[in-house]
Amino acid sequence: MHFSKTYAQLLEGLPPELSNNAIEYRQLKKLINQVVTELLALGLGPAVLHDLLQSGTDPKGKRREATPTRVFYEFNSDSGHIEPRLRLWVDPPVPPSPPSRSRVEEVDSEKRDSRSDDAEHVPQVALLWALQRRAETPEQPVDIADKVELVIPLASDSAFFRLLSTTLQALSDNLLAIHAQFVATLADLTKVVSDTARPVSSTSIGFKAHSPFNSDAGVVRVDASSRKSDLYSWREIFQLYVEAEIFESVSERNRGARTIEESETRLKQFAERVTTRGLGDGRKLKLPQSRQALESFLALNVFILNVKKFELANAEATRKILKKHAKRTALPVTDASNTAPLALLPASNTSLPRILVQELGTTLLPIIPSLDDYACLICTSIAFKPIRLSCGHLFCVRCLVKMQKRGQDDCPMCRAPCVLLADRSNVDWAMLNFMRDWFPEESSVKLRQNEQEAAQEQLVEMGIDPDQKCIVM
Amino acid sequence: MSLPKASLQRPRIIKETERLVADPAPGITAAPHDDNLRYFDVTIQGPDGSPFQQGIFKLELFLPEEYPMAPPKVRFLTKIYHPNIDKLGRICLDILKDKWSPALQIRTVLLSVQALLSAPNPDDPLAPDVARHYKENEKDAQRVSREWTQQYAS
Repeated sequence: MHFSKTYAQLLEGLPPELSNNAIEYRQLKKLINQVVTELLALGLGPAVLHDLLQSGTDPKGKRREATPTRVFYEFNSDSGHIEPRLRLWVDPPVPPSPPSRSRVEEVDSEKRDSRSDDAEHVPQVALLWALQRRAETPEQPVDIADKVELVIPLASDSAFFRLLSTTLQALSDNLLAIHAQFVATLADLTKVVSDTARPVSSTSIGFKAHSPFNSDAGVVRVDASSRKSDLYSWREIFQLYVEAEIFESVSERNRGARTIEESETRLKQFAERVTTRGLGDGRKLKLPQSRQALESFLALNVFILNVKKFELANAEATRKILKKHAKRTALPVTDASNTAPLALLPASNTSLPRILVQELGTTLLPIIPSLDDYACLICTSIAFKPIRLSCGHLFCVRCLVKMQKRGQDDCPMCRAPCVLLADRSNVDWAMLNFMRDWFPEESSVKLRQNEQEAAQEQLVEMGIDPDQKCIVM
Repeated sequence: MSLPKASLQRPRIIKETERLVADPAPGITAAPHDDNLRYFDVTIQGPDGSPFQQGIFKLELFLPEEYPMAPPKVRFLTKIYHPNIDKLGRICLDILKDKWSPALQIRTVLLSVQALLSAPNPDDPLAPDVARHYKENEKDAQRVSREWTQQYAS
């Protein structure tokens, strides 16, 4: 299938705010045909031009020192636009010389602005003859000083690059606008999620704060009695989302961006997992705003995927059209030795999807504290009750008690000798309240486990096997 | 309602094992025995640029009851000519002894062992004859290490 067709089909599947700014591939193709016609009119068909350009470079693309290049394809960007032209050196016309050279100017005359001269008056024969003669005798050393230097501006080629350049510019502007819009939508979504995933202290249950002096230092109670929270459901959704690694892999062996197909599959799998866990409906998302927000969250991800598709297709279209240009006209645009035109084109921002993914990860996801950030590094479950060592590192009380019993004094993180010093005064009360507030279930489970473990240890220290069911004293 | 929480409260050894299997470190594999989840079969690839390059070394790793308060026990099963590893495969590595920290993991221990292959330390030897060889004629000692690698670890 032709690329123009593939490209058109892909654009049809994308939302209009993207596809309206696509690259005008068909139009550019037409312009290439015009360039070919223009060059043919100059007697510079692809074959002739190919030979001329090749004679200046050896087959591997390196410049030969002995034979100076006699034809250059170059770009004038003084005016801010890309204006391609051919610069060449020919023998002075053999008398009788053609009367005028309106289309072909001498460089030193600096009259480049007169390139709009009527092409029909171009006396091409002498130039054509001279060019061909040079092509036949490539071994002969060329002394540029003896030659007449000529510059031929290429009008339709200019049109080609102007269209390509303005399209790419518009594209890049459009992506900026899309970015701004995405950020705004994300901000709204973030607000809704933070509203529906409130911690205990802002729900009807009420929240008792703890302090070193008092087990209930103050009660936070919210007046509205019907206030529910979808905190745990949102946390689960975000956890599934992070684990899905939809757009980027974080594993050790294949770190980095994923392909579009892979991202698409993973997004689908994520949606399936959310559904099978009952997170997509009223069973677990109690608040209607939550369900709407989930919809919007998924839509944002689909949108990122579309931007990714769009950018990839555009890069491909740009590459293909330049390749076609080079192939049809023999003008070396995509030549490794001639990267000037590519550098002059507006750079497309190929990393927008990545930026959007980062935006999601830094704006929305941190709204809900993740358990991993509050885990004890020793037992890897929630660091409850939290003890802050004098070196500043935080662990759960159970693990530190175990270390103290073994006489291990060095902080597991920084080896500062401060474990044995820790006592009641090292409880981080602010952290403790935060954990009870945001992780009410995990912290009470951990507290129960801690108590059970401590009781068992006590029994063992007293010489009693805790697994033994019945003890006769 | 309580399904996800259970998965968040898995014990440390299970979590570590899951990650070792699902997302292994480059050049390292570790698989627990079916009948004893504290006993692991380990392989470490000899690091590029070391005399152990291209060798695949087998090790065993055991997590004692006190883990992570006490370090895992690690031993080479494949014969290796290295100043800090003796004939029985025992390894002289500070983090496996007095420099152990409960914040270290199976993964970090195995990465340290892999690094030890790149940086032999003949000043703190466990195999005195190998260490002497390394100190007196490093080139020749490395030749022997390469030979052993070819002979036993490939």
